[in-house]
Amino acid sequence: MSLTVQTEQRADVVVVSVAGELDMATAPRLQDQITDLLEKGRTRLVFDLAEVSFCDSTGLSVFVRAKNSTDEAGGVVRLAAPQRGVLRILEVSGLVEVLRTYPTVDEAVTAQEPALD
Amino acid sequence: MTGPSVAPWATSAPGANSGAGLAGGLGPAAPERLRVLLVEDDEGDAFLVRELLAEASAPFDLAVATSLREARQRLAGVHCVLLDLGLPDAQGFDGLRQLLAVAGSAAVCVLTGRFDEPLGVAAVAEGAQDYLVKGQVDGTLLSRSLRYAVERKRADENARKLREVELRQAESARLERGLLPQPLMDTELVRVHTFYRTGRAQGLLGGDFFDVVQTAPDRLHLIVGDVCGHSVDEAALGVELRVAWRALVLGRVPEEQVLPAVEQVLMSERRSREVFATVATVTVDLVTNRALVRLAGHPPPVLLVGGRAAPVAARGGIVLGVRPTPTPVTEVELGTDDWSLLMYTDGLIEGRVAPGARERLDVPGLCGLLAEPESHQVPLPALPGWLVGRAEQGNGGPLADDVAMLVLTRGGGR
Repeated sequence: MSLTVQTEQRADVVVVSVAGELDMATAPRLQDQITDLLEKGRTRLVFDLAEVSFCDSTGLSVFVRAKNSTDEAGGVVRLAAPQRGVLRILEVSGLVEVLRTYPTVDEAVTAQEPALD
Repeated sequence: MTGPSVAPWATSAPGANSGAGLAGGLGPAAPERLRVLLVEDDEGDAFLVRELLAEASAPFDLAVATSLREARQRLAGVHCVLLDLGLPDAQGFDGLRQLLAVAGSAAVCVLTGRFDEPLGVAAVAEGAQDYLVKGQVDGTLLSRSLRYAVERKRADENARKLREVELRQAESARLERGLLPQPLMDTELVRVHTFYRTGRAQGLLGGDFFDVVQTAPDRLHLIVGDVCGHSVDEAALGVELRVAWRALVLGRVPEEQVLPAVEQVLMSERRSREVFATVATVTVDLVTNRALVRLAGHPPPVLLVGGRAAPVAARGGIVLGVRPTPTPVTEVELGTDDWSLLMYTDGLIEGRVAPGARERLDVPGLCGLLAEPESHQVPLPALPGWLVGRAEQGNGGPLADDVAMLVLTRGGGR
């Protein structure tokens, strides 16, 4: 299965646009990109999931790992525009409570952090 | 006089080689053309080796590296390395060890000086396939030694690979016993059918697990879980969680404290912090036909009763290992004395609904399969296998992930 990952700086965040199916075969590719960004000191990340048609638990663990790393560095991870199926796995896993999820990329980019997470 | 005496030989050599190639081509089994990398800083010695191979009319492609550093860059595709133990950038065994470390599937032979034969013997003990003493080698011996070294290396490699596969299979079998135990129950009021199938992605197990424990004549505890990730580490962690759960249940730890304790085990034993697990647990009261259901990031069990199949309406909580929170509990009415509860891991519902389709089976699709008239004809013990078969049919091939299933059945079962 194919997966493409593109990044773009917008305001004070990096928008990581993911397209394709995020599973155990493709998740390492996204992980590599995230590792790259973190090494460059980019710790405010918005994942645009509009083109992600599927995400399994390995895919979820990539976001959890990104959240752990950016938390430590004082950054943020936000998810944007998940399709129905991906939103469902975020809900079933309960991770929607931890990985802040927004209906659109614009909302995710401009969102204000609550004082306490 | 050296120049003129060498020149005719040099021009005749290609002819000798092509002659050998022709003869080899006509033979029943032409010897394979071997690529040899000579690591030698002495031009004279390098010349000698080339001459010896030509003399034997042997089908070799010889390349020469004058240092260990150069050799490291030219190893790709090489069948055999011939290493001079007297190289300037790696005297003696240091050089040999460095080369063995990067040689991969290439055989390694060493060249020693005339008075250093014990070095050659020690080099073989160190891992080289053979040694040759300069000045005591003719073309036939050199070409035969190189060829044997390559064959010996291949045999060693095959034996090593076979051993690796055997070890992996033994480990897999051991983990499988740990992940998929015999139910611990003696009631005859209900029956349990278990099922497990590894995913197509790897022969090894994932971290799916299940268990069944009876703690009183009327009380049965079940769990199905999945550790995210697909390496031996996750499978081993799955075993730990399953055993921890069994111990906590057998130890009569209050029910609401069991999953928090399992979560603590997960968080203290996991390899890295992003590893989480999903679990569904069910405690069945066999007198009242009621169940307490807890879902930690896990899809809901499906209840088969009154000819229908539907997910139990239980509130779900977050996966274990990310943000420790008590998992919500929901009391579910199982109904009459004829019902089945199907517990499964997400591998079952992640297949495509049709070959090439984007949409996945998910819980509604699973219930759709169970609503098909054909499914009612399938005996309950065979139902998990039938479901996987139908899921694979829709998927257009084997499911990617592991599937673990438990069917708990009472009376007629549906």
